[in-house]
Amino acid sequence: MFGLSKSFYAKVFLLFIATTLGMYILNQLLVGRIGGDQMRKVFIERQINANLRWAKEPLLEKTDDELKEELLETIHIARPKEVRVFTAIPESGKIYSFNNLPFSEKFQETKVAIAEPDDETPEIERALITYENAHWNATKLIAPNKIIVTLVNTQAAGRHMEDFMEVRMRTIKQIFPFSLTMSLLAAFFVTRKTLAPIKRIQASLRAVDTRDLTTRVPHQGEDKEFREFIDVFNNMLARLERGFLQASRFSSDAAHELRTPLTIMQGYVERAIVETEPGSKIQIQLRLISDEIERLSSITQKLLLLAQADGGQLKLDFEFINVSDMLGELVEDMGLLEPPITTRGKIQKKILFETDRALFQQLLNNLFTNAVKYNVPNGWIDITAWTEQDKLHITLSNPTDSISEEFAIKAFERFSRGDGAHNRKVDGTGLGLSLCREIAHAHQGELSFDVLDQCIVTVEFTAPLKNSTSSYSI
Amino acid sequence: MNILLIEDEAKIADFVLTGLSSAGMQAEHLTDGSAGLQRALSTAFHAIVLDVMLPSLDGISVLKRLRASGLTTPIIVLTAKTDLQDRLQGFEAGADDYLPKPFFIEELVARIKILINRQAGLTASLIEENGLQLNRISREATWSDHQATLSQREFTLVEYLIRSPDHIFSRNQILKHVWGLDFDPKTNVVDVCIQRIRKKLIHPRKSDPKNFPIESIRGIGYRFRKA
Repeated sequence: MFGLSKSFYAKVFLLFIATTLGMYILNQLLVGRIGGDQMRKVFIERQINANLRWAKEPLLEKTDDELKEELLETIHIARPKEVRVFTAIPESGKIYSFNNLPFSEKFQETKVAIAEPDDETPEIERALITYENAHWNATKLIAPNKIIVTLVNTQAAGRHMEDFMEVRMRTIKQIFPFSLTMSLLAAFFVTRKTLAPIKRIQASLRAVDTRDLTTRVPHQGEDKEFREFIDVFNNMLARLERGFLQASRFSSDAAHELRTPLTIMQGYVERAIVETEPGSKIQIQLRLISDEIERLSSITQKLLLLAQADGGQLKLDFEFINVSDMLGELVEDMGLLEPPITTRGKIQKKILFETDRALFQQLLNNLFTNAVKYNVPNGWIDITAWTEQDKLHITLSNPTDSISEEFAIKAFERFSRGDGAHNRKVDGTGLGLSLCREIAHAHQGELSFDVLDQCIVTVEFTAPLKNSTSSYSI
Repeated sequence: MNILLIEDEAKIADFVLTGLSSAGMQAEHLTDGSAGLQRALSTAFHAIVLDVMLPSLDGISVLKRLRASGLTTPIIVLTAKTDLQDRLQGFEAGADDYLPKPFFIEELVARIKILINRQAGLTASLIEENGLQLNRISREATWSDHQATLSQREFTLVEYLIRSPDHIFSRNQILKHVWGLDFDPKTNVVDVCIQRIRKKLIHPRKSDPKNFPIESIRGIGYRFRKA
């Protein structure tokens, strides 16, 4: 789903469900406690509000019932029996507290509440009173011509709170599946939204080919955090590219620089060979030197090609060639060897392959040379070539006694040789297979190397028959 | 024959000059691009051998200016670079041939001869040396009035040897040039091929095998004997 793994989504969903449930439990615990306090405060505030209104009426001529009605109206959620109103005419000059009111003896216990900080009207006082074996919130208002004491049962708030809690509980139960769904949806969208830049960056990173280090990941429009991340990655790429270019330029320069002294050596040795007595000892020795110079030239050439491949500058000159004929010629050559090597297998007729003739010839030569060099006495080579779904397949198998399965792993490493570094009984540079694979890659193809039962080696080359681009750099 | 060699590496120039003179060619040597350009424009040569990396003016620029001034002398470019890009650049600039370093002097001499012959309008389809005649079109070889058609490999081998008469080629060199293989020198594919050529061209009664121009030099390789 949107390129993210299921396990990742599962984690995010679980996290969101846990958060939802946690919020729900926390809610249940806190609403009971905090909500109860708040409910009591609401009741008291409304009780005081009624008193405040009465204090502003200069001639209070309302009856007790009218006052009670108004109080109920103001508190709005209390029942009539949860409210009491007492009135009396004050004696002038007398200072009343809750204890010396005309009806004070009715109260079993009176605890005067500490005035609230916002209590701006000193003529209104609050107290907690026990009356008729119940607890009441009481207010006392001494108006010029009237004393008004109101009582509101403390249980009114609690009872109302219980109602509220029950309604709330039922509501929550009803909407719980919905809220959970919402939570999951939120999880999904939040995940997608936050991960979108990561997905984008991931796509850009994937576009960075290890063979083309010049690509950079664009950081425009990304959040700061991701910009920094991209910059770090780009810097790393730049360093890598510098190092890589330096290394491949070094090999390329070294190969070029080696050519001049090699040319000079070859020139003089050849001249010396011509000038010495034919067949003389010195001439034979000169020929040995000449062969070694040849070998050095061949290594230099391979190193240069590898360096170009590494630097992404291995240019191919594509043309269509008849692979079947090319292979047939090589098979004929195998018959010329002494002792002869048996060739078998099947080469499909008239395979046309778009390739660089020189490089492809080099690839085939290397593979055939290996098949001959690492063969067993009176051995054989199996050559099979066929096309399948616009792809060319060539396999070369041969028996061998000098190879281990571990070699299959490092077959393509440079200077690695099938017979171990110290055994030079077979000539070679250890660059051939590595170069072959680069050539295969340059054809957008692949070269695989397998060892079966430590005694049969199979190399398979696969590449598209057509390379649509006329010049493809790897 | 008069050849102009423009090459700044003294030692390479030395053995090239020796090789050219032993092939009977007169050569003049210059080490600098612009001096070479002046010389090539003021004097007529049969062919020019031009190095790419030169002081003062590089080989490709020299080549372009020579062609721009209408000079049609055959030019062979020598270079340490063998990339496709460089090769194409050389040919686009008007080179007639291209020889990567390191090269064999015999190869250079042979190519100069081909270019000069082509320039003179001589057909290059026939090569003849010491009584052996090669037809490059029909792939036929004639020796002592005996004619035979050679296989591609056999023909390439004979042609390779005949182009540099008297030069001794090692089996390795032949393998590399004719088969393009870096074989173990112990393989005897070259010897087998030479045997087949001998069998095809030496008539059992009419010709004397001792006179056959391709001879083996023990421990060294093969050469095509000059007349």
